[in-house]
Amino acid sequence: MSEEKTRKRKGIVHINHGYCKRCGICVNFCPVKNLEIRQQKLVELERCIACRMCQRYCPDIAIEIEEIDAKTVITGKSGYSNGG
Amino acid sequence: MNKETDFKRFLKLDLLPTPWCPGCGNGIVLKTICQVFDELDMPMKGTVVVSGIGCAGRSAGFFNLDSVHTAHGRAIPVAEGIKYANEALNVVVVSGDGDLLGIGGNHLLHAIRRKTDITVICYANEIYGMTGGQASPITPHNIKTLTTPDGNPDYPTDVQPLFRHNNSYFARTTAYHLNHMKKCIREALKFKGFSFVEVRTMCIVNYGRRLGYKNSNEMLLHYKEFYKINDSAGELAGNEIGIVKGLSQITDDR
Ligand code: SF4
Ligand code: SF4
Ligand code: SF4
Repeated sequence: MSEEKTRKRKGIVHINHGYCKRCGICVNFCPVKNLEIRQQKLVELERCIACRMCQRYCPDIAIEIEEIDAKTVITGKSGYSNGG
Repeated sequence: MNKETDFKRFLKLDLLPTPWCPGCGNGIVLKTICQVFDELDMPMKGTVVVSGIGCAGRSAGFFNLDSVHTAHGRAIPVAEGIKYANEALNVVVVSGDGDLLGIGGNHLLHAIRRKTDITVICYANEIYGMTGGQASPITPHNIKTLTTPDGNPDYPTDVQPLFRHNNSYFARTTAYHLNHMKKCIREALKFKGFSFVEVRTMCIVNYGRRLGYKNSNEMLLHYKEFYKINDSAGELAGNEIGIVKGLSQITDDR
């Protein structure tokens, strides 16, 4: 995948800071390094490819991904990412 | 609500977050159990969860179902009692290895013998986590724990043969292998008779740290490297995960 395509944003990350324990599992699983813990808080860097690895492995149901309709992001490309 | 989050109906969301340590694997197993409940559309009225004592034992209270948090090691006899009182109920035990195999080992032995139609899901973190990390019946040989500072002199117990010889269901899986875990739990819930799913999961705080893991993610990746899936074995080796076939066929239809 080209650098350009992987940088296209396909998902919006919803973090429930009340549930998040800042364990870092999602940070380690994210293939595009979209997640970071900064000053004791989990933040996202707006380059999510909607693979949902973070959502699947989070032990605390603290992170959910909302897929952005791919057509509005990458013209003519299918909206499915084959992340797992 | 959408497909990815429908499982949350099986949780008491207002009680979250759980009291478990950051990165504790118990949360991954709890979530996966709810996902399988959702997939099989288990009845909210008619499914009962029973837990014993320990970190894993805290699970029962988080299910949005009727549940019982029993005394240490006594989850299985309570669950059997519920099942025998009302055969129509789906009864699921969720507890840890210390509780189920250690303190409650004798009850497990007899539930296998009686073939009670319940499902047991064991968070197998190889330790008594809640009380500080004492060795459990499945702590591997030579592993250092709070109570075995020079390495565990004993060998871990293996309950597989008991299940096999009683035509019961035994599966082993890990917190890393999410789809495999779902399959093991799904088949266990469908199984008519006594079923047991051992999920290797990470206790980072009172076990992993002592073993030298920096974080729970490293433990997860260790499961990925160490365990190999073998779903056709009559007996699983120490580093194998899969569903052990009993003498009779495991039924596919519910
Ligand atoms: S895996 Fe979950 S609890 Fe851990 S840091 Fe990520 S969102 Fe927070
Ligand atoms: S869905 Fe995938 S790409 Fe997006 S934040 Fe989660 S792990 Fe990273
Ligand atoms: S002590 Fe271990 S098993 Fe218990 S909550 Fe903490 S990490 Fe989990």
